[in-house]
Amino acid sequence: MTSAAELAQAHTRGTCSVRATLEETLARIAAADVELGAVAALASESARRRADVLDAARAHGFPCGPLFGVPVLLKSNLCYAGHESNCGSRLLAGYRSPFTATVVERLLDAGAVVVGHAHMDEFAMGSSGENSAYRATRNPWDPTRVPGGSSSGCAAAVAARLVPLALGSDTGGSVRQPAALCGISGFKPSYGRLSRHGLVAFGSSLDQVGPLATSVADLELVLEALSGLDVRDATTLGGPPITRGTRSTLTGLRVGVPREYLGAGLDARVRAVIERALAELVAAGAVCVPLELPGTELAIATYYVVATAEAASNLARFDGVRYGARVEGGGSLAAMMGATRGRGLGAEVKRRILLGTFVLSHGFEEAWYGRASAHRAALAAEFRSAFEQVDVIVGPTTPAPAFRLGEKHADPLAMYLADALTVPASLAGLPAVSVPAGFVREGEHDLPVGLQWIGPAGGDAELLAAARLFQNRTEHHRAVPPACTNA
Amino acid sequence: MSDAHSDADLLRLRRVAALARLELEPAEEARLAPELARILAAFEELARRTPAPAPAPAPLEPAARTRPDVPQPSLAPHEFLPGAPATEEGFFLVPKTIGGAP
Repeated sequence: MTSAAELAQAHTRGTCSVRATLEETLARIAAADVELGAVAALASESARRRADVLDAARAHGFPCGPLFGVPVLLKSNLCYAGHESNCGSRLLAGYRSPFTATVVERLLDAGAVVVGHAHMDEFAMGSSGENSAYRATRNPWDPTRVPGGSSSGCAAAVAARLVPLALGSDTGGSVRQPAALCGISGFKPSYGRLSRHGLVAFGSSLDQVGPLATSVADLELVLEALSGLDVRDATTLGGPPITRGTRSTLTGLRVGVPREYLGAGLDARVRAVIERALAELVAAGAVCVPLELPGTELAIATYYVVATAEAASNLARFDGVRYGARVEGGGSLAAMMGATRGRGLGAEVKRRILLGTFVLSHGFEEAWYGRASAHRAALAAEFRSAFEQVDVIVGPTTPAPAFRLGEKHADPLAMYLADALTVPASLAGLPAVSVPAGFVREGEHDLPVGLQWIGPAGGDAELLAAARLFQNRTEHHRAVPPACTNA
Repeated sequence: MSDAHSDADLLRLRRVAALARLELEPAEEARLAPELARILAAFEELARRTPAPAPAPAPLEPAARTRPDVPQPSLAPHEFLPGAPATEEGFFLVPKTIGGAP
């Protein structure tokens, strides 16, 4: 499959029609997704109507946007008017948003065609895709393994070349971690860079919308099209529109390598892949600078206190009154809400709501939420200090390659550790992108390894430019899962 | 783990579940009570090693910003009512909150 940028150019030139590309996309999904389980719901009819409108518009000389005719899959927590956005939850089965998320509106303004919604961990809580109330998505590189999460369907669909582009969300790594495990590129922008209006909230001080694609160049295209102030999201950053970063060479790039990111708990094979990537950077003229970010050690605990506290608050709205399939529970309002939430929510969501409620409860709030907030501030200060010495920070995106379906499902703490290297950037609100760095061999399968790049707050464009320059020197992102070689 | 610990874990779980308005089946309680205890024990290092709490930071400390106070188009009732669990004559229908069954 060609990239999003190449597809948009082909449609704009008229080399192929938007409708033809869409039909090929739908056919690929029909053929491959039964086993993969990436796509939750197709928007075939609205997509066909839109494709025909775009083809007619081009024929009449209307200008074509930068994503003209590019098929895009949305994570199921992004609202698209009239289409089901169930957040992977039984509680929101059949929920059709009456409005469209700002980022989706901007995708459409850029000419994209939304082909449907992707499976995800329920309410974006998970690192494996197994917490969906509907089905677990498989990893295209090895169908016995997880694709990562929570943007599980988005990552698997792009990796399997079903679509060139998907839009997910990243609270503690939910775009970067599945991108790494599926061998594609995934970007979490700076906090505030993209609007969250129409993204179902999980952790409001952490949530960011993020694109997944087969190349960093396509991520840059999406960032340019989607970023900017939104009056419907007071946290969006103002300033001039984002344009592509100006860096043209890796020579002289100061690359920080935190000791903690290559420490205990890192798979030895992953370490070897990352060390080869660092050697490639040095060969390109970059300068590696050893760093210490000691706050990393407590990042997982900090994240799971802050994120669950915010989740307990945000998910209070799913009570059978404001949202959610109502379950009558014995007559009283409290009983109805308890029954609705008790029967509608899955195990991991309940676990996190309980944890979040506890850390905010009377007598415990200062010891838990207060201290987590204090540690978060210290971690953000460590990053600010580090970026006085370096331009970017790099390391592995995940401590290990994709694990087997079911391997960690019964052990929440083991699952949480899969996020150990992605939550620090989330806590500090920094832009971070995962790009393919190589593979490790596991039995008969090659499993992808991701290299995470973290930039200073607001430095999204230059971060992506540096990651693109690295990617252009490698071939890892061109590798296609074995079952998809005909895609 | 002693029975006293197990009982304390279960009591804590029930108190938190009531605050969170989550009805739990007995089997869920039996699984979640030790899980919650184990997770909190693993995170105790955070409370032990972090000094005095400071106010929660905003990641980028943005200046507070509000949109202009002018009326904007909004959704019409027929656009959002289909999403409600129950409706009647163009209104949301909610369970009785005062004077209902206990």
